[in-house]
This record gives sequence, C-alpha cells and structure tokens, in this order.
Amino acid sequence: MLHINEEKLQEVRDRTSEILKDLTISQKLALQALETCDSKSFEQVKIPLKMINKNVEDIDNLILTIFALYNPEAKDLREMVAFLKITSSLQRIASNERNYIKNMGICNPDTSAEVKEIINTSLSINRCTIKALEYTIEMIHEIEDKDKLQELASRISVEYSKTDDIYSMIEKDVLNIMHKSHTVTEEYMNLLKYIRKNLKIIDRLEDISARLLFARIGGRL
Amino acid sequence: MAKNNLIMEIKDFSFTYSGAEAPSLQKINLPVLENKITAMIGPSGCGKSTLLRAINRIHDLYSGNKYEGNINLYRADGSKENILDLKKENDFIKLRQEVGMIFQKPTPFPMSIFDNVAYGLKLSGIKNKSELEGRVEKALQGAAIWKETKDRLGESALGLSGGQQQRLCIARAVALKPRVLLFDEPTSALDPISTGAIEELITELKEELSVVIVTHNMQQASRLSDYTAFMYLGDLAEYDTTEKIFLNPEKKLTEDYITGRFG
Repeated sequence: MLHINEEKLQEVRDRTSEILKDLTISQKLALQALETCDSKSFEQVKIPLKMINKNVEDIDNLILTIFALYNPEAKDLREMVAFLKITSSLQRIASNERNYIKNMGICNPDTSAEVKEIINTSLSINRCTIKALEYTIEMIHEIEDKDKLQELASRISVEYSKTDDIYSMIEKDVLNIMHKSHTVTEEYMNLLKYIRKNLKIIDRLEDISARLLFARIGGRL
Repeated sequence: MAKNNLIMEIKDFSFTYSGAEAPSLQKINLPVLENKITAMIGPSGCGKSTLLRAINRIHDLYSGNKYEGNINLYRADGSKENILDLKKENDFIKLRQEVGMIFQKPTPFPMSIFDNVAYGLKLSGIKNKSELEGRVEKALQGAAIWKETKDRLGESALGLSGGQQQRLCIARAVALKPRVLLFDEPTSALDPISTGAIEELITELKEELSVVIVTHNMQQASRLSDYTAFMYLGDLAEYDTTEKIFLNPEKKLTEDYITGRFG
C-alpha cells in the first residue's frame, strides 16, 4: 500500500476520533448541567454537537474517495466498511444526545426532590457512557494489539451492562413511588423514557466496538 | 514559474505515422502540471503511447512522421518552447535530458550498474570522477536502489532483478535532473512487490519533477495520479482530476471504460 493511502486511512481514524471527543465533551457538559440541575448550562451541551453531521459527511466522502482511488483490500477494506457504519452510529448518538438534553430541561430549580433524586441516580448511566466513549476512542487508535482491542471491547460491554442494571433499579424505584401514591404519574413515565434515550447512546457504542473488532481482527460484519 | 504551474502544454496536437493515411492523434489538448502525476488511460490503440512518445520526440528516431499543433515546454522563467520546432539532433538530446522516458520493459545497458547511471551524465559533459560518483550515488538514492547496489556498483546491471533494473533505469533518467519523466506502462512486466516499490518511488519523485504515466491498470492510475486523461480512438475523451474521473466522470464513455463495461 502506498504511503499516501496509509495517510488517508489515518485521516479517517483521526476524524472519527475527533467526533467521539466532541461527543465526550457534550456528555461531560450534560453531566455537569444535570448534577446542578442548571437548565442554562444545557445550551452549552449542544455546542460540541453542532458540527457533527457535517463532519460525518466529510468522513463518508473521504471513505468514498478511498474506495474510488485506492481500492482498499482485506483489513483496509474491512476498516473502511466498518467506519461507514460507525459514522452512521455517531450521527445517531449525536441525535440521541440532543433529544436527551432537550427533554432533560425538566431538571430545573422548581423540580421536586423525588424527581431530582431519580435524575441524580440516573447520572451513573452518563458516567458509564463517558467511560465507554473514552474506551471507544482508545479502540480507534489501537491498530495492532488484538488483545488490547478485545479488552477495551469487553470494558465497553461491562459499562453497558452496568447501565442496564442501573436502569432496572431506577425503574423499580419509580414503580415503588407510583405504587405508594396509587397513581400513574406522566412526569415519571416521561422521565423513564428520557433515561432510556440516554441508554441508547452506550448501546450504539457497543455496536461501534463490534465494528472495530471486525475491522481489526476480522470475521463477519 | 510557468503560468498556472504548467510544465508542458499540448495544444491542438495531431500526429500521423509515416505512411499512414489518417492521423493517429487528432487535435489533442492536454496540460501537464508541475510536480503532479498525470495518468493516461484508454483501450489499446487509442494513442496513449503515441502521445507519450511525441512528448519527447522519440518518434523522430524514424523519419516521415507528421506533427501538427504545439507541445510547449515551459521554462522556469515563464518562457516557453514549442518542442515540435526542434530540428537538430543536439536539441533532441537536450530535450530528452529534460523530458526523460521510462519504458515498459527495463532497458539497462550491458555495462556496470555505475556506468548505466553515469552514461547520460558523461554524454552531457560531466567528466570529473568525484562529481560523477556523487551524482550517480544521489541518483541511485533518489531511485531507492542505493542500498541494494552500493556494494556492487561494478557488477553488470543485467544481473539485477526486473524491478531493480526498472529502478536503475529511473535512476539513469533522474541523474540528468529532468523536469518531466514519462513512464510507458513501467510496471506491467513486474510482480506486485516491485510494482509497489516503483509506485512509491514515482510518488516521491513528483516532489522534484512532473510525471506523465501511461497505464492499463486502472487501480494504478487511480492511486498514483493527480490528474487523469482518458483517450479513445486518437481523441482525448476526458481530462480532469483523478478523483473526478474515478468518482464522477463527465462522460458515459469514460465511466464505461473505468467500470469495465466497455465494448
């Protein structure tokens, strides 16, 4: 493979990693905003997400050029197909993040103590997502060490399992609260819906890690 | 610097072989940009090699061929010279030093590796031994074959592998510090490893000079070149950036050829 082709492949990796970094910043800002229930800070969360659609399009076009000009084969071919799917997942993560932060506007100084407590518990999911994002970035740059890749992928799976457990606990708590008050409160049901939206982010990160394993180790897409 | 970074410009160029009734090339217009690789692609008999050979007047080794139009070679000061106006043998030699040619089949001379590279230098008037040695070493390094040959410079060039012979031929051309190098299917007789080495070398050479390459290998044209010219039946059917030609060609004919749906 020509030196210039290697550079193009590296450019795809670097640009994808930049998007993941933007998503991580956005997640960290969201966590900060929700920890203080400061709805004004929510606006900042959207800033790192602004350019993601355009950046994803740029990566897709770069991959198209690589296909047209450099005829990638074997692991290069797997990597380019994997990254096409990864960019699509990144777009969806950004969309989930936007929806999540818009809906979490329910977190403000007037929010009841019970709801604040549920939100607070749910923030463990955000912390897991941030960790999973950081592991994914590490995976993007890990080209050769297959053991390290497997290890990072299983760490992402662990974070995903943790979020699943946390959500089950939150769901149980919410059902208890509603059971005690003998009413089905729309506010609580919506809150569960929003938290579930946040869960989708880490779900997609697990998909991305599977694509990266396909790219670097092989197997079926 | 020549205008628009042009190093050569082919304008309304037509070429008719000696004894032929019809021209093999008709009104070709093609720019050759400085420090870029221009690939010429097209089916056999479309005139790629004929055009390439016209660019350094190799056709003139045989008489009776007919040229029309202009092939301008731009100088560093911006002036230009129509190489079709050249008449004297000395001018042809000077032109071929500035516009070198690498052929499909490696053509080392039956002499030592050192003498192969020094041959052109001696012809151009360099006699000083230490200068010759320096230029030969630099050329062999430039052609990425120094490491393999530095301990056997006195041995026959015919003992080298096909890929090494081709790189030696490139070194021989590079030694004369040409401004343009023409490659006529330079890797079609080589295995994939030698092909990779030559391709890597060509991409490095474009830092120093401009390259025009004729190839039947679409992948080679796409991964190597900055600009691509598609020729068909003696016409220049389409010329554009390689990315445009291979992603969004203007003409159906080009697309059909590139995608193998031709004929």
